[in-house]
Amino acid sequence: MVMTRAVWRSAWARAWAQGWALPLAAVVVCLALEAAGLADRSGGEPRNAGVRRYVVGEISREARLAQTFLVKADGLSSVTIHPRATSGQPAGAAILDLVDVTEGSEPRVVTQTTVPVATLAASASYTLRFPPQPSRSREYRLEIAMVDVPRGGGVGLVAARGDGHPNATFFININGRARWGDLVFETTVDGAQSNMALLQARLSSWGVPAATLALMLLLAAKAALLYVLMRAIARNAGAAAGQSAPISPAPPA
Amino acid sequence: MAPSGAARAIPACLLALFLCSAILTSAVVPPWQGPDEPTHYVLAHALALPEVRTAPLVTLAGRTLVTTVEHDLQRATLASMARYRWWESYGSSRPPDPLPTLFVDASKRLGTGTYVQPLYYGLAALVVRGVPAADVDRGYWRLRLLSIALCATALMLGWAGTRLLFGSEVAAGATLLAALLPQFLLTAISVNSDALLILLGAVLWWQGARLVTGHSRGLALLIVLIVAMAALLTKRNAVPLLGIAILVAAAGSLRPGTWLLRHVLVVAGAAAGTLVIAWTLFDIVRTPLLVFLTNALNIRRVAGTTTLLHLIDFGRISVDFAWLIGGWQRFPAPEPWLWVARILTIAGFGGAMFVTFRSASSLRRSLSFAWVFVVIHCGMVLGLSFWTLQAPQGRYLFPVIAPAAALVWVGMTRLGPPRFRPYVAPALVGVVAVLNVTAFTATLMPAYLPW
Repeated sequence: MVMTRAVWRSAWARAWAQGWALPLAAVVVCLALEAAGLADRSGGEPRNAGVRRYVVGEISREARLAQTFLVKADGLSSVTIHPRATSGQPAGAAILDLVDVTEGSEPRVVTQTTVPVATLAASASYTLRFPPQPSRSREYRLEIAMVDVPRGGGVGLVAARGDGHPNATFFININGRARWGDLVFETTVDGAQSNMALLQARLSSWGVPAATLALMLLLAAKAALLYVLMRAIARNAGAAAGQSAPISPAPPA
Repeated sequence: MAPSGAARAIPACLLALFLCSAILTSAVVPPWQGPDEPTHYVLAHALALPEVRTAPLVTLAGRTLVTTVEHDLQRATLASMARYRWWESYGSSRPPDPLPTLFVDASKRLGTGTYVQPLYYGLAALVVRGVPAADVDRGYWRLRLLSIALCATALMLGWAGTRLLFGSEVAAGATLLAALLPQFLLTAISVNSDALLILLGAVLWWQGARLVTGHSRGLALLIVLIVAMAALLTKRNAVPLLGIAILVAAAGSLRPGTWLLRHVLVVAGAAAGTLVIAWTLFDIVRTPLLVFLTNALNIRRVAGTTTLLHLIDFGRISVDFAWLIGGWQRFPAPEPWLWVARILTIAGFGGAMFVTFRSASSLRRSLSFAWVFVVIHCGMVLGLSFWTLQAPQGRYLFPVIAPAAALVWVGMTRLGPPRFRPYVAPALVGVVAVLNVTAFTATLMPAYLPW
């Protein structure tokens, strides 16, 4: 049987009136967010929500920028930045260096690439790719230097204010001081595990038996309890306000 | 009228929800990620060991207890911190090599504990008794469970107090808000004295509610006084609770009617007994405690460069941190998340203020009672932290989490017309539930799972 729009609307109106639509919707949203979070494979690698964005630049002449970041997982294989064209004609080139600057070891250049500024200015993002690195718990510095770029011929780079990355620092080497904020950038790691897999592995290493089942049961219990409590609260609120159903149920279609 | 079965099930569901959340938080957040946990742990475990247990209390209070026992525990704790990758959460890619054996050599963040306020350490020592000094992990998990138990009890007592003053609907809603608050969950899994102080704050709220609503006033008054003394022996941030207790006791005692005449002797005797006990305890720890409190009251902020904006910003950060800050103030919530939390805070307390002035006298009385708790505690804690140049800490506000949650709940749900209440109430819980989930997915899991 095909459910028509009117039937859906009527069912929703009844659910709304009987006070279980909102709790159910909230629990479904929570479960969806939880599932997405557990399935996430970013492994906590640097990402930036991009709030309070601004464009650094225009970067031209002999300017050098650097962004450090700490990688939590093995297999780092790319870093993506977000250039922005400026009003002038792009010219010259940018040298992108990725350097392993982990404390206690000598700095090591992972990769170096020269990119025409015109290439950077032509797209919204540029990805620096390299062979997967043994990157767990290692700190890297992405350096961007402009060569033969006249004033007006450079690019801007998207950055974000605030301290979105606790383990990252952004430098503009004009004055050598760390900036309050970071470049907007993303990294990828090959073979990253989902948060769920990481959580299972951790619980197993702590000696928790049947970690997956225990986790699923806990999440299900939490969702069920949240629903029961929200429903009870909605009913109580209705009763306290002197009404059992605040909106009359819609007639069946 | 006796509560129905469904009404009786609500506190059980609240407790179960909190315990589920606390277990999930424990799975995500590794040990030693609560502020100053190693320091608190070592002192508690040292007191549980036979060679220290028999030392006189005055020696412990004077901190002459830097012994081999404590050094052994520090070594074992540092090894445990390395096993749980503590250094990797704090900007260092590896633990120091070789691993230090003393806190002082490991990090400037690790201090030594003080037995000046002995109640938590005494309780914690009972819980870890029998655990060998080398088995720090087992001792740590026992104390994490103790914190969860203390906060779960606090939640239930908070519910009981709110129910007496505001009724079942507000009690359920406000307690649910508290149970879903991410920072409260993080505090509940931390090994430090905050959990005990939160419990004592909840007892004060509950017994204060009994006192002003006329339930067993003599007993309630006695418990209020004992709790105030216990709080003072738990943490220095308990000083505002002492002020609240005195106000509550005075308000309860001076109510009109025959009660005072009939019970005056009982109350006077109870108060005198409490004072004698308190004086005896103070006699043991009086000097170091007074030094500690005097230090806390030393104004260290330079008046000439301090502006009102600094204070407002300090308050804003404290409120942000009361919602969520992971680790040792290391992992903040995303800005959009914090803006939702700030809007809820302002709307809740602003609405409560409005309702306080506009509502009927019974609701106004209950709201005023809650405001006394919140304004005195939060005002004093924020003010003292600000003037003594301490870092802002949201968890310090949690001893009054029950009255604060009640104010937010009433402020949000009673502001509009009553016909909207059945929608506003679950919608408010829904928003806080989404904040709870996203605190994990956006902050805690990225911060802790990959390590």
